[in-house]
Parts: sequence; structure tokens; C-alpha cells
Amino acid sequence: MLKPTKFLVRSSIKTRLLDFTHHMYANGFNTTFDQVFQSLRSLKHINLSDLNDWKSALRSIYCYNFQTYENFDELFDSFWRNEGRKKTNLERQKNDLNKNKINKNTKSILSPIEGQTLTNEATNDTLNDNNDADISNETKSRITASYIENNRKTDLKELINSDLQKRMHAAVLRIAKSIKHKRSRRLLAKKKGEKLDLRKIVSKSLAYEGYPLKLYKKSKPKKPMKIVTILDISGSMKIYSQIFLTFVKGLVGINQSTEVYLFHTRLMRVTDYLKENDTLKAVNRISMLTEGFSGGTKIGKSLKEFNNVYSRNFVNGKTVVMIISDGYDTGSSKIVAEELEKLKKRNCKIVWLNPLLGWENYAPVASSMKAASKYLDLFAPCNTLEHLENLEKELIEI
Amino acid sequence: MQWNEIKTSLYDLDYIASEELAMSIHIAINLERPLLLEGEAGIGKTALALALSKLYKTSLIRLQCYEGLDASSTIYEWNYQKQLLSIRLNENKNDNNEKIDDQIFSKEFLLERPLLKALTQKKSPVLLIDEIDRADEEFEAYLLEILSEYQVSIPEYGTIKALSKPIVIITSNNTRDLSDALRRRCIYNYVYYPKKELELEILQKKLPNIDSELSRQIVNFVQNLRVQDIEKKPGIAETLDWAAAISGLGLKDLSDNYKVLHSTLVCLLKTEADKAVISPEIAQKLAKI
Repeated sequence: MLKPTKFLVRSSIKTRLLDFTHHMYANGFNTTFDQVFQSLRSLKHINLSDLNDWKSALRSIYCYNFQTYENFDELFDSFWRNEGRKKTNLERQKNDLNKNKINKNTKSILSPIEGQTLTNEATNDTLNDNNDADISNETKSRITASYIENNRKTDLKELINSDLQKRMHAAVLRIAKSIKHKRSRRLLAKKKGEKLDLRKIVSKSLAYEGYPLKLYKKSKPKKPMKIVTILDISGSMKIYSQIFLTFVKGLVGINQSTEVYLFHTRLMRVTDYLKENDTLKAVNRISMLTEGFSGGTKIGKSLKEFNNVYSRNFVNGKTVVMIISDGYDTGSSKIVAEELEKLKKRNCKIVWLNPLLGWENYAPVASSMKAASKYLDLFAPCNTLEHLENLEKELIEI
Repeated sequence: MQWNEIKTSLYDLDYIASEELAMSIHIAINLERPLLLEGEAGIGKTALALALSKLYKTSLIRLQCYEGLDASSTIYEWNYQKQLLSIRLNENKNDNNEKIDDQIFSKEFLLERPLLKALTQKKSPVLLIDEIDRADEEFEAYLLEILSEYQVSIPEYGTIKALSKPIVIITSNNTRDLSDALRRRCIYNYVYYPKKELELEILQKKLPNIDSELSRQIVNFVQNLRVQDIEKKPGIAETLDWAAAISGLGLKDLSDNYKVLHSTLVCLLKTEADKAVISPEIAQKLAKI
């Protein structure tokens, strides 16, 4: 059982709650002043001497979705149960050490904190937090720096010159535009609509003693479409994947609701990383993330992961799922077909862009590709920029 | 009422809530905030609203959401036909126009839809807004005024303030991401599949006729089934259906008759693919664990 925090500075519950709110904010929660206010109001209704009561009350108030609900425990313990904080922090640092195999320099940065947290009981809690944040930022930047050095040989600058980037941007704009809207079945009021809106005509006719002098119309509104891109970055796609990343990055720039996933033998959601302003930076960050992974391809397994974890929240009738892959698969092709069928049941449009299709005499012989073709709304080549530019027409039709 | 009292009184009403959930209800009711419940289908989100209405001995007003839901079918609408008739009837009388205006835009001509109805009750009702993720995003915007101020503004009539603040339960199956504005106004709880002990407790409470050994086996089976790689995991509602089916067929032990066991799995497995995954052999194995 973790012990409650011994706050060194005597402060009121209000200040502590404010501190806690800052702590939650620093850890990625969207917090508002209202939550502090609600927590203070809730004090009346709970047994404050029981930390568990306090925890579940704060959990109800501070959480707002599944992810935050899951993370809450640890963050709560780290603030209100000081002993816990030190332990989890230490564990995390050790894990980091093992995972990233940080070189000796970074280790020497980390080791003083271990000593500090173990011996230095007398530091103020918030002060300690700041320290940790600063130092971890520093270590992060060091790790990043060393990665960049490793990556210099495979720099993207040669691949993405400014001319290419401009043309790419234009192509992306047009493609994004062509899948922007979907016609809806529901009718909404519109000045130059196709059908008469009887309900409105009757209600507005009241002003003219029941004579329908003005005719109101309605029509089907256009609904915005969302794009979900699933990009293959396996070995066989290596020469294309960086160009496609730029393409996808362009899509995210135009439509912020675009979702991006990368896969090789497993799937990874990278939407948030792509929201970086600088294209080169964003693509670099991603290639860093995926470094060392361009090996085999498991399309089926990755699609399965997508279906199980993400498709519920991100795929519906208003979504175009764009898969960019050459279809060469080391996994079973049966799974690909099964998963595509499942995905199709979510009523989305599936577009498969295949760089190999642009080659002469290519027929989709890769077994995965064969299995998949049944479920595709569009199967198009994309090995040159021209192909991408021409996609617009075909996308309008689906 | 403290949170543990809510838990015990809900228990008496055949609803078994986890401690976290009881606390969320407690906080939501005392702070007069809506309670947003998320989680898989069939784990008792809707049932909670029913139980709460029984607990507070008040009415339950339910709004089932669907795509295309709009203000006129959820908040209020003028009874146009009646208004027209009334104008015609008053045509020959020499009343001045204002009087007619006052008359036809009065409460008599207002059709109350669920949300407005919830605000005009004398005793706080339980308002259940079910599966809000099915409604459009625009609908969430309508809700904001009602949920934060507990009032409805009708241009022709004025603002209607709540006579008593309703207890609002909003459920979502997470098929669409809800807006931050709505989430921010709510007390949040994510309802997980119940743990083994809790599910056993629920089963015994709801179907007390089933032998305790058999119910233990049933819960074990369902818990194991949820770990399997299936599309649609069974919720508590399914467990209860299945248990009723098993006991109705007179099985005393799951291992008695595997043929019957497998044929009753229709209560738990709801897609063709899942039926194919859980073959008779696998079902047998799951029953033995």
C-alpha cells in the first residue's frame, strides 16, 4: 500500500487541487478551472479521510475518455501518494534505460536524479516535478540527436527537393478536394433545394392565415468525408515510402481529421506525429520511429490490428480508407481478405494504391492482392507523381 | 445519501454497481451534472438509468438517439395543425391580433419532446440519452444549453427553466468520438466488463434459481470466452440470457451434454464468424477450464 504524500509546504486544499490540475495538464489531460471548482464542491459529499474515495471522485471529474480513464490511476498516485511517484518514476527511468540502450553520457545525466529522489526528501513536491520534466526533456533531446546522427546516411533531403514538394502539394490538394464530401440521404433546409419542405411551408404559412405563399425547399447536404491512410513501410516499399509519407503529410495538412497508420509487421498510429508544421521534420521524426523495421510485411495482421483497435472510432460510412502497399505479404492472404471484408462492413470506401501496378505487364499476382481485389472500390497505380495527380478523377467517381 | 448507500440501495433493486460507478453516480447527482457512461454494449449502462428511476421513485424519460435526430423531435415543436384550426375558428371574432398571437403561442400549442418534458416535471426525473454517439454532431450542440443551464429557449414563448433538475444519464458505445465540449460538462465513467466475482454476484442476484456451482461454471465460461479472439464479446445481458437458457434446458452441469451446450451458444455468439471460431471442441475446452 502506497503512503499518502507528505506535503512539505503547508497549503490549503485549493492550492493542492490547483497543483494537481497543473500536474494532470502537464501529463496530457485537458483540464479546466471548472474541474477544480467541481472537485471542491464534491468535497462536501465524500469521506475525505479515505484516499480511495477521493481518488474515484477525482477520477469521475477529471477523466473524459477511455484513455484518460486508464491513465488516471498512475497520475493520481504520483501526486497524492508520493512514495508511489518515486517508485514509478524510477521504474520508468530504468525501463527507458533498458529499452533505448542510451549511451554512457545520458546515463550519467540520469544517475544524479536517482540519487536525488532517493535521498533528497526535503525538496518541495512541485519543484521536484519541474526538475524531472526538465531533465527528461534534456535526455530526450540527446537521444533524438544521436538518432539523427545515425540516420544521416539515409537522409530524405535528396529525395524531397522543393520542386517535387510543390507538385506533390498540388496533387494532394486536388485529391483531398475530390474526396471531401459525401452526399447524405437526410434532407436539410436549403434555398435552392430539390424538394419541397412541407413541414416548414405549413408552419411558416401561419403568418399568412394558412396560405402557403412562400415555398421552402430542402435537399441532401454534402457531408465531409474523412480519410484514413494505411501506409506500408516494409522493405519492398522502401524506395516509395518516403515519398508517400510526404503525400500523406500533405493530406493531414489539408484535412486535420485525416488519420495515418504505418505498418510493416505491426501497425502504428502516427497521426499526431504528422501534425508537425515542417514537412521534412515530420517525415524525419517518423522515419526515426520506424527505423530498423523495414523487414517483412504482414498486411493481414496489421489490418486485423487496425480493425480491432482503431476502426471502431475512426471508420464509418463517411470514411475513405486508403491503403498504400505493393501487396507483397509474408503472412497469410486469407487473413487479408477476411479483414478487408470486416472493414468493408463498416460501410467505408476502400482504395488501394499500388506502386507496382504502374509497371508494364504487371498483374496482381501477389496472393494478398488477389484476395483483396474483391473488396476494393478503387485499385490504382501510384508509382509516379503523374499517377497521383491523375487519381483525382477516379476518386470523384467512387 | 453516501456513495456506499447508493451501492446498497441499487443492490436491493437488482442492480449491482462497482464502487467506481457508485461514486460517479454519487458525484454526478450531488453536483447536478450529467453522467456520461462509455463502454461495450450490454454491460448495463441503460439498465442503470432504469434502476436509478426506481431508486428515486421517479419517472424515466428516454431519448433513443439515431442519425438525423433534430431539435423538433427532441426538444419541442409547435402544434401547427392545431394553431391553424385555432386561427380559423377565431377568424370571425373581432379579437385583435395580439390576443390570437398570445393564444396560439401558449403552452397548449406546444408539443413537448423528451428533453423539454424532462425539464417540466415537478419531481426530478431520470433523463436517459441513450447511445448519443449515433446522433449527429449537431445534436450535441443542442444538448449543451440544456445540460449546462437546464433551460430551453423558445423564441416565440420565452425561456423555460427546469422546475427540477433532472438526473441525466448519457450513454455511448464509442462508435464516434464525442465532442470535447460535451465531455467537459459531464461526470465520466468507463464501464468495463465485470470481473469474475462481480459477474457471479450479478448472475446470482438476477437468477437466484440457478445452482451456485452451475452459475460459477457459467461465469467462468463467459469470462474465458471474452479473452478469445472474437468479434463481438458477450456482455452481461448475454450472460444472463445464456444462463436462463441453460437452466431452462435442465442442464445441471456444463460438462453434462456438450451438444446442448454448443447449441445454446447462440445466446452468446452473435456473428457468423464468431460461431465458426468457437467450434464444439473449443467450447468443450472452455467449459472444462
